[in-house]
Amino acid sequence: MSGIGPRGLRYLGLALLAFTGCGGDGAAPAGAAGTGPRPVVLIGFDASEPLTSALRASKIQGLVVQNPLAMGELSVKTMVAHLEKQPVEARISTGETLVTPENMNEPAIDRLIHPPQVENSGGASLSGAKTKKWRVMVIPKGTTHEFWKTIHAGALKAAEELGNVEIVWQGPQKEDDRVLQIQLVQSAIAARVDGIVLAPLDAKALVEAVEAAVAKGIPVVVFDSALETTRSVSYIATNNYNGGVLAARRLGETLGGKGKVILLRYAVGSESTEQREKGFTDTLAKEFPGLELISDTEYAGPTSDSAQQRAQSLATRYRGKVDGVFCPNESSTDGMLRALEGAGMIGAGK
Amino acid sequence: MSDLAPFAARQRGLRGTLGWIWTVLGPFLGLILITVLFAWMTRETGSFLTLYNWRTIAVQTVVVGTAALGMTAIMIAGAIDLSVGSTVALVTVVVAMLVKRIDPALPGDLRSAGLALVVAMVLGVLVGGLCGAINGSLVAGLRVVPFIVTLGSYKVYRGLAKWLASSTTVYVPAESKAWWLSRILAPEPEPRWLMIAPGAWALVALAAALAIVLRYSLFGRHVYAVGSNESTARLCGVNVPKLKILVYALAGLATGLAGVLQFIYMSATGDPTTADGLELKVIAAVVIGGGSLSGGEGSVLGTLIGCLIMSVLDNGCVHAGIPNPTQDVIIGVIIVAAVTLDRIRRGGS
Repeated sequence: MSGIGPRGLRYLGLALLAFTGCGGDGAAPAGAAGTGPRPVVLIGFDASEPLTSALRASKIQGLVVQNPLAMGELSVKTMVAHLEKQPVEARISTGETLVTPENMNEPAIDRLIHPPQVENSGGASLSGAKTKKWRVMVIPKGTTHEFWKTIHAGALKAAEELGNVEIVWQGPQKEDDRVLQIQLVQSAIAARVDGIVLAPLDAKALVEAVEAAVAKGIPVVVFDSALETTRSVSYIATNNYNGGVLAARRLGETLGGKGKVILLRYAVGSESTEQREKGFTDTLAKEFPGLELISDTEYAGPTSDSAQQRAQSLATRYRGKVDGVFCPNESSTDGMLRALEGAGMIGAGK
Repeated sequence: MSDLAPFAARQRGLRGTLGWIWTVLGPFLGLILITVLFAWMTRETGSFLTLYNWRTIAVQTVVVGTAALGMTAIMIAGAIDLSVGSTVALVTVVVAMLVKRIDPALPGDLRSAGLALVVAMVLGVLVGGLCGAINGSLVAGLRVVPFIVTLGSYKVYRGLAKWLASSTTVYVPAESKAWWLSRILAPEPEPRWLMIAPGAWALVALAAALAIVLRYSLFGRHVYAVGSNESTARLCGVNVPKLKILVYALAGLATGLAGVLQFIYMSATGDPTTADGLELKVIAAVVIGGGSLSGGEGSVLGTLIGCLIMSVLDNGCVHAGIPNPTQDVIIGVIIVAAVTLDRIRRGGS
């Protein structure tokens, strides 16, 4: 899903920085200052401040956004319903919406792209005695990303509405730290919370920790990304495949059904983005025979920096040949946007 | 050995039994202090001071602890290894790939026993040993300082891991995971009389073995000698290059085992990006436990307590509801404080 952690902060000082921190800010390729090729249509996924302002400037033609507020809220409510022995659905979809420069000012859409967020300091902690009937630990994939701050806001909203549940919010800082997330689940078991609401970083590596929790009588609700277990209470997420379908339709319609298209993938093994990519390529093949996929083998990697590097290479290689681009998450869209802007391939004339 | 007699005598004088107790007692008091502090902070729920939680902490200490044993030997010899995290990542990838390669080729009953896992895990430990031996050979052969050599191999091994895994995560299919695999690091072991996870017992056994080797064997005394004063040790007839290669290779085996344990901890997953920064955690544990960057100091028991301090901090902060950034600050302060106290105790030498 929207996967960036804090950019590789190393504490060994300059020596290591020289090894790890380089890359990113390459100059625009020669010739960018000229008349410039025709602008490229960029469709992205997820909203962040730079992306919505690019949308407003028509540098991006469409963003598929999720509803993290509903995701956080429904996850907690489903957990409490299960704890109170009510039946819950095994799979709940929280919806996905296409935002375009035309509809972005509608109030309903505006709420989606400017959702409420809370800082990490809020909420209950494991240290105090339980003040409510239920104590639920919510473990996101990371804590720095805006997406998770909105999830947090949704979880707190549910807690406020229900009144009988307190939320303990604790997540790993980096969104690829499987070990830390396993440790958090183990700590939640040891702290004997009533329920765990988890966005697993990895569909497989978290299975044993979750099943250990269930074996200890602690129910687990999975949200945002799937987990390969049958023992969770419910799975609450965006229909990512449909998100890819929406993106493909928007791209096809904007291009008038004809042109050459690039798909910058996110990372192998990330279930949610692979679904989006599949929805995108399936729809292109089925509904838009005039669109030709000229590159779909490149991966953006976990951060905006890695995405930008990859996107720069793509932009240089397909300069003047590409008409449309789809990126399946926030960091890849962000990197692609910067690369296309740098190469003068986007929205300069508008 | 007779050449070293004056040396050993000096060591005994300086680090007599009393001094040794002090070295271990200092970190131990720190551990107790932190435990009491967290127990107080979580007094309302009492969830921190439960048997189950301490079993969890034991499991969470195993990977760092195993890697730290190797680092202890290296740091006593006056060297350093920055490639620990990368080696661990490389080993998880190698083990996962080997299991995927070997397991389908085996007959049914050997598959269900998990023979492929055993073979792959043994080879994984050896890969760690090889990585260490390469580090040691470069340090001894190129005569470049260990910091730089292992800074290089830190990148090389990480790169190899990503290259082998095609920059993605390598999963072992569910049918290749033998029944015993997840038990190695399960907080509640089966059978129950084990008290802590089998992986944690392995760490204890390995630590005891290393402590005995370092304290009573000729090799162990040579390691201290080289770390205290390399030229003196050389003049006394210690083959310093050979010793360094040996120390790095042995430490590499420990790191390889840490990689295998990390593989198990992640439910049999080979992850080329895992254990990023593990080397710093390991170095911190050794230093808190009385080790010195300039060599000649450090003990296995101290290191284990250092590791426990680190994981009690990690675990306790979660129970006490202390957010991540604060945890980082606390651990940083404790590292500096521990070493400063150690210096003061030694009379500012």
